[in-house]
Amino acid sequence: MTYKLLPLLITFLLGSVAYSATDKTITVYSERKDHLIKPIFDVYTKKTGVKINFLTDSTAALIQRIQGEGQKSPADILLTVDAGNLWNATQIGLFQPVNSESLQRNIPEFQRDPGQQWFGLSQRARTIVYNPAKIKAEDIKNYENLAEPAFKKRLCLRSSKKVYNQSLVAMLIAEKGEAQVEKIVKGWVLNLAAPVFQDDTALIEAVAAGQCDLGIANTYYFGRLLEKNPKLSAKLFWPNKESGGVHVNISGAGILKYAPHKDEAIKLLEWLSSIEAQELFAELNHEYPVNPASKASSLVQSWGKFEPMALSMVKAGELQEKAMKLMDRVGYN
Amino acid sequence: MKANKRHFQSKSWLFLSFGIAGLVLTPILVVLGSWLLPVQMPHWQHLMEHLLLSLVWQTGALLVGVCLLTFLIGVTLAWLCSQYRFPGSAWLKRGLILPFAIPAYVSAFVFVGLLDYSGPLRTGARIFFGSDAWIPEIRSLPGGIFILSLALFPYVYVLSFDAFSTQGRSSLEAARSLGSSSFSVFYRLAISFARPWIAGALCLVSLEVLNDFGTVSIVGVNSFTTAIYKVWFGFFSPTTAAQLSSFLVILAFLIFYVEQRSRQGHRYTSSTNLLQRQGIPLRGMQALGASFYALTVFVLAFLLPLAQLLVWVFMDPWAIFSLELAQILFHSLVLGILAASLATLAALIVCLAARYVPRKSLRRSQQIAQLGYGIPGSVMAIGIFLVMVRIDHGLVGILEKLFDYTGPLLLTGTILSMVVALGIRFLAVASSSIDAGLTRISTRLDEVGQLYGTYGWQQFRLIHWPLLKGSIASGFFLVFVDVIKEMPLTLMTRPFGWDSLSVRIYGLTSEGEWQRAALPALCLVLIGMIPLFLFQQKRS
Repeated sequence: MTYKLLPLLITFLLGSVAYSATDKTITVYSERKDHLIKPIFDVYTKKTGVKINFLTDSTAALIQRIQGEGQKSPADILLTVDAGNLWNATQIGLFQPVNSESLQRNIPEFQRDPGQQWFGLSQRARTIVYNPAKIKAEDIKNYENLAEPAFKKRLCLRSSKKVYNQSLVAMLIAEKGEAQVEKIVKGWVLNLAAPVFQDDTALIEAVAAGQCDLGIANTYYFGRLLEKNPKLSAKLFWPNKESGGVHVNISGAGILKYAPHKDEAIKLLEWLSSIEAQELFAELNHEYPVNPASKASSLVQSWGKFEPMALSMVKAGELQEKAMKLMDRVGYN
Repeated sequence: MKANKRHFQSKSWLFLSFGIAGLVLTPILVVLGSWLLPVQMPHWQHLMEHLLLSLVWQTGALLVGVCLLTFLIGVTLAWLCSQYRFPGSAWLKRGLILPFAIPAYVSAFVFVGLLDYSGPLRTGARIFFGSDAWIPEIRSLPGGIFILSLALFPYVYVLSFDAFSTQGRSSLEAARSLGSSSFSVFYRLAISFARPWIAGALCLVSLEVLNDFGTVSIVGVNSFTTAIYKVWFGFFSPTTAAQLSSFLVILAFLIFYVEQRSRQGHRYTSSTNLLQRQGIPLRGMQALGASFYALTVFVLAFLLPLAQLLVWVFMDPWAIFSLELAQILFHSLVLGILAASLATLAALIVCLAARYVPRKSLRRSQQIAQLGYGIPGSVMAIGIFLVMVRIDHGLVGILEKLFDYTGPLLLTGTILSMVVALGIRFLAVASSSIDAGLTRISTRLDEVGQLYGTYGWQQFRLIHWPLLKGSIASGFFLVFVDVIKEMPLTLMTRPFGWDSLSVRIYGLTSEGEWQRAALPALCLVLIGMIPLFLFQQKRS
């Protein structure tokens, strides 16, 4: 009796092998979470009949997994957030270059890898959030400005462990040099009104509740809170071009070196960069599309236009380690 | 003939026990072996200069703080509930185990949500009293100690409760009849009788604290685990991360060693049944005080987080119990049952081997088998994953040569490997329960059995199984609860489409979507309560 059940058990325990081996299936390893990618993959499957398997985890863990699986990896695409992550994956040699005309046409040059190994799929602006009841927009200028003694006990920041802050500081280093940025970050730490937050949502809530007057956050977190509470006592501030512009990061993807379904995977990336998919992709998370022909959602558009820092995203990766060390040196937790 | 058979049996115990210990040891050796890889000096230099001091201090303070507080709460509650009767004691006695069902990371996000500046408590305080300065900052080291202690005290409570209700009852009664005060009975006799149990519980608590990541990162404490993550995720250096975690492995070794030492020379057996006798009734203020104290702990550790989760679920328009959530819940259940079965079976084997074949090496092997619990889940995850994938490549290589096999890897990303990984990790939990049970069975019973010619399987079936059933079941239930709460290992080893509740909670909370995480968290707590209820049945 028990032995009759054995084959059943084996099929169950090893079942996923057969499941991932069928053709016309693309496998995506993703740091972007389930609820932000599944709806868009469903649209693609409906349209083309191509099934998409995906697995979410942090980028570092996914990279370990891909490296371990090596040539036998079932993964075709690594989809991740933050340019630093994409740059690191490229350094390790995880991706393969892709020559696709439509990808190059759809995605601006500074938001993809110069070697065509990864491509930005959405933009996320990391800007200043302030409480209009406590501070006037005229008193804010840019990121550097927040280090001034005038903002003592008025600033809220997210933990330096989050890659978004590492990229922000890295991009500032690229712009202003390490010595000057060290002074700025030190000033930020001195101005903190509360221990650093672990996520942007909590930070924006603290700004709205008046624990601090202003902070730095990604705009889509602001969008999510606004959706829940349209009367939120917080506003976005865009540093203008003269004072350096807004720090913009990306989420993006590349085709893995040993992708078993390379052609299908490229088709998926190309579709993701198309106007139709871009608007959906960005709208799901209140982000900005990378394709200049697509429009952000009306909510996102209502926050006004901004001018991004004019630097290649590659810098965020190159200088990430330097940025982390700098933040540790000045005691930015 | 008989001697031959016995020889064969002792050999098979040896192989089984060593095999299991080897399985546990492999990922640990991978971690320690990281020192054979080139040491990345720039990373280490940076760690030494700017991080090491603060993380050693914060980890140490957290460890000592949580051990002290869990000891205080756990032991006093166990003493009150096992020796006395007071209003509510009948159900508090059972209810105080329920906080087990709430993962520390869940109570952490609940408490931060409640007690942060923008949360309801401080907002209310500002409105009604004009100031919230008297409410301490929850996102701090003391906050972390508070949250972790509330989540972990049940370990101390359950184990010392068992000890107080079984150990040296007659001595306690004698001391009381000779006029010793309640306090001195408690302090001088009970605590020393219960020492091995308390030490065992504090050992588990320490290991949980050392490898906690969720709570410390929510409250912003820099511990070893957060540094490991920083090096791995930020510097992209898994090697340095593994090297850093080797310190945690050594610490785990040390903790086990101290615990074993504290047990040495103590053989405790008692035949008195649990809960057989009614407790001494407390009166007046004493009764009120006892009730109030026990109830406060219960509310803080269990009711409050549960209530907050419920409020979030009702407030959140996303919170619909969909078919997808049902599937995820099913995954958690299956995973918990399979991994708990495996861990319990393996723990039973190593414990029995050490008992049946009195060799030092088998005792060692039993100790080694517990080490999986000492390493942070994420580090264990890399270790196990690297070993597994290596074996898998080997296997596929052979298949390719022999059968022209061209398919994908066979083991990586299967439920089997996930179950094995989780089973290894939580073997210690099952083992400590089974070992405690075995210790309580007098070796005289074994000797008597042997005189009548019962050995090996028969000995187990006739003597140990009936006496050990309860402990085995307890071990199984505790592992089940631990497995469904586990996050990093499940994340790293799970197959496609096999998200569990804890994976879903991770996905949502890492995006700061606490409220949307409330429904899966609530499901997790509820299914965690089922085995705890069964566990209670077993105990009483």
